Amino acid sequence: MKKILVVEDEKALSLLYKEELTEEGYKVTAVLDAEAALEALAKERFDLIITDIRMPGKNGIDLVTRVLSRQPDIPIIINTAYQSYKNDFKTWAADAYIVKSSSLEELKAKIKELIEKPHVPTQKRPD
Amino acid sequence: MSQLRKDLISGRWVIIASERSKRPDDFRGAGEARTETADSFCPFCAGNESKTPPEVYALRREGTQPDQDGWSVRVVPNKFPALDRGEKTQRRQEGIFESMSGVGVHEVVIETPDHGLELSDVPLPHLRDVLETVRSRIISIEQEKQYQYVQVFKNKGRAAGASLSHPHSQIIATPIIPKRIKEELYSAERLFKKYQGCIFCRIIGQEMGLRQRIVYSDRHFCVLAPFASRFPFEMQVFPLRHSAHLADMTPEETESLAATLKSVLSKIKGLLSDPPYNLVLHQAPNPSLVQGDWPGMSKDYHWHMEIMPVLARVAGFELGTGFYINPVPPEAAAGFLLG
Amino acid sequence: MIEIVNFLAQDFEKDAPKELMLLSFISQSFFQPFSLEENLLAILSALTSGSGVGFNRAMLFLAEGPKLRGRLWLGPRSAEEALYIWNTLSTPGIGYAEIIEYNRSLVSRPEDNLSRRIQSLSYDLKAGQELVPSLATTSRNIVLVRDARHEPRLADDFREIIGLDEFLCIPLLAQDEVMGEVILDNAINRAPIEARDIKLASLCGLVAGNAIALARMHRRVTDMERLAAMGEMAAFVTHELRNPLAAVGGFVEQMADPRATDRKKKRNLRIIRGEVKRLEDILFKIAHLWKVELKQSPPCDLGSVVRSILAGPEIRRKKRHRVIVPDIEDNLPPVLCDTTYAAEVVRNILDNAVDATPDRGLIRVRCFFQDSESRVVLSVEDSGAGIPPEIQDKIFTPFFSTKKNGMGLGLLFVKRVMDACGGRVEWESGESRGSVFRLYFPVDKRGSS
Repeated sequence: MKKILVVEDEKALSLLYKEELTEEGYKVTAVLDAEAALEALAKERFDLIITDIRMPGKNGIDLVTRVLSRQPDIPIIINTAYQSYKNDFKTWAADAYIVKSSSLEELKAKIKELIEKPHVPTQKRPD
Repeated sequence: MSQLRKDLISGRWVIIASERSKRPDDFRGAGEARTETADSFCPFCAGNESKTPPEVYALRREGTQPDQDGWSVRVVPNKFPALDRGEKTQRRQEGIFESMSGVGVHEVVIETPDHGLELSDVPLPHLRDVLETVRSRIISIEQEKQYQYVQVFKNKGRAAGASLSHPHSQIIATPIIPKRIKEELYSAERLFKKYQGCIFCRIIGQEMGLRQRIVYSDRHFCVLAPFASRFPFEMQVFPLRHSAHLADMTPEETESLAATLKSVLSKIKGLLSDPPYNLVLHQAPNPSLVQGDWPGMSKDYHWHMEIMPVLARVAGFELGTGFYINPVPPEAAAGFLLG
Repeated sequence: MIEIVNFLAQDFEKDAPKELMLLSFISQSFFQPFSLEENLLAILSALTSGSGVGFNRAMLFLAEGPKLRGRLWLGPRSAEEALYIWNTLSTPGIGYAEIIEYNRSLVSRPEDNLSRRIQSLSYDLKAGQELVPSLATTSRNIVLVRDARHEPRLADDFREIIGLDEFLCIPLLAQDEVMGEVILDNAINRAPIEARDIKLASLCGLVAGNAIALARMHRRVTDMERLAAMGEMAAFVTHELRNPLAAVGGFVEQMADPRATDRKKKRNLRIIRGEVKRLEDILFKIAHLWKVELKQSPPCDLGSVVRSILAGPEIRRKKRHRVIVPDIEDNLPPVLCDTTYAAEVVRNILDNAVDATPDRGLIRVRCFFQDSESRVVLSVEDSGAGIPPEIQDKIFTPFFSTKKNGMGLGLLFVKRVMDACGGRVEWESGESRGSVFRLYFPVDKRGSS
């Protein structure tokens, strides 16, 4: 069973994602901020991360850049209320950028697409 | 003693205020400590090609594959386009060129595989390659008549609007001509009629004669601090040969432009303490446009680049629309940069 | 030795010199800045009330671009009415507030409204043109007209409306600009206009001009602030609304699933209700942020507003184990503020205090009348960590928030409301000493003695 880490500070949405994605057959761990996410990542392997950007403490973009420097292969979806962060090229560290809407269809479809994809390993940066 | 100066082409008024002589320390860049540590992941770096969309162009070593390591300059489309209305845009594949019809084109030119190597620091041939790349993309994009205008710009440093510190530029093609370019075109047309010739050529001739505001010149290009500079150390890079389009550069001119930019950007970096800056290409619209709109544009308009450093202690500011105060006279800026 | 002297403009005796009475009268209007309309009325009242300068009627024209337009006309319509008014207004115990209230009802009554007669009048403001009434405005001089019947340099429609031979035109000057003019006459008692009257009237004119200029500038600043914020706001609003909408949409979808249990549906409804309320709050704040203009609001009982908010379910749920200590004086005078806005303001401040205070911490809520300033003060003191010095000058700016779900509009909204009703916000904060916010509400003196 594939494991998903959901990083979302809005409690209602966190609950929604956990329920819906469990329904879809994934094992979901939901955390409320970036610090908790890093802790969770240190403890177990996940097959996909979904993260918000605006959160108390470290923001989602920082989280993504941190995660990838240690686990370069993990698929990441940015899921945010903000359209404007698309201008920030640091978001390219993620594999998808979804703007929150009232339907979860787009998110579910992206998860399916990315979680099944064989990973193209990113090469280590030549020193 | 303050001077009121009017920019001929834009019609802008600038107050050049030089109340007191500036100390060199005043000209430090609004620099920031490198925000990204070695611990940070960068999607533009070599090795991370899988994090970018498939490349539309690249200069790479013999035998290396697209979207793999081995490139020296690489162009990719915007991964998360803002104008994504969810409609399926048409994609067309022409060999290694990929273009999208519909909304517009937004590409990122990743200038070097090395995160820390600035455009001013790369070897001359590499800089020439970057310019060649830009030229090639412009030509390719302009084959689509619907793209009336191609914008090329580079932001370096957070204060100048760069979201990532890995050196890069952007190319945006739009189906309409941006307002400020239209205004420049109108102006150029009007002034051509008034002065019976390209106004830019005239300005270049005058400045080269006076040599008060020239920062650099060689066989094919000159760099000057504009008479009515809005911002401290604002600079313009002009080809000496009249031309409305960057794409028309000869290989010799491209070499020359590389040397020019390397010289000027290095000077800025060294003398102004590595400031953030914006570099913008001003050129005429797509030549394959229906000639009706801008019949005289190849005569009236003269392509150039504008360089605007963002400094910490001295700044120009805008009082109202089209009215500025600049505390560093362009003559002083030119003098300072000449050393 | 230092002696603190409390002074309120209305303390002048009724037999003090006219000049002093006039100044006293007008300056009081600056303590209650409702709106431009109110200020204009105050000025006209000063010019026509028995205790002021004492003209019978006062007409106000405002310069709007290239034209001078009629705006307000204050005065009795007949000798009988005049007598009635003057007797009423000179009874002991009638003060500034009563006069303004009375005059307000005069100018807003629907039948045969004097103001309406001049609101269709409009004159070109051309420099060098010698035509009354615009002459005072264009020449920036006081113009005294005698024998209007035979004076050719008078607009015909104006001559007919004023129906008098003698009247005085005072330009309302503010720095370099002329805001308009006031036209004064003694239509009822036909008292001749003397030099002294002219002097007093011009003093009024000067004050009036500045009041108008100030009100206009205030509006312009508000507009500019609004425009600046609007750019940010457009993007901001869509983003702020997205989170609650995503939740509502998602939970609704769940409920549409035929397999959804009753328990789940109930829970989802609860969550949806919460998110909808959030949406409403956001929209309310945004919609009212720039509309905070208090026109004619009924007096507000701040004490009971605070009490009902403290007793309400929201605060009680939110505060959890924090202790809120209320200390609300009895018989607080009513304040000059729209009750809905006042409630929103109180809620905002309380909310911030609750957020700042650790669980089981103390929050002191006091509501008392401050005699020296004639204000009702609401003081909310929390025992949180205090506001860090580096953000202290940002807390009232739009979209600045330290809360994870904060919109950053709360304190700005509070400030707007307090400004609009003539009150103010004060606050103090010490590192690890908590913060105290004080809202000063002006007492509603209208209709009271």
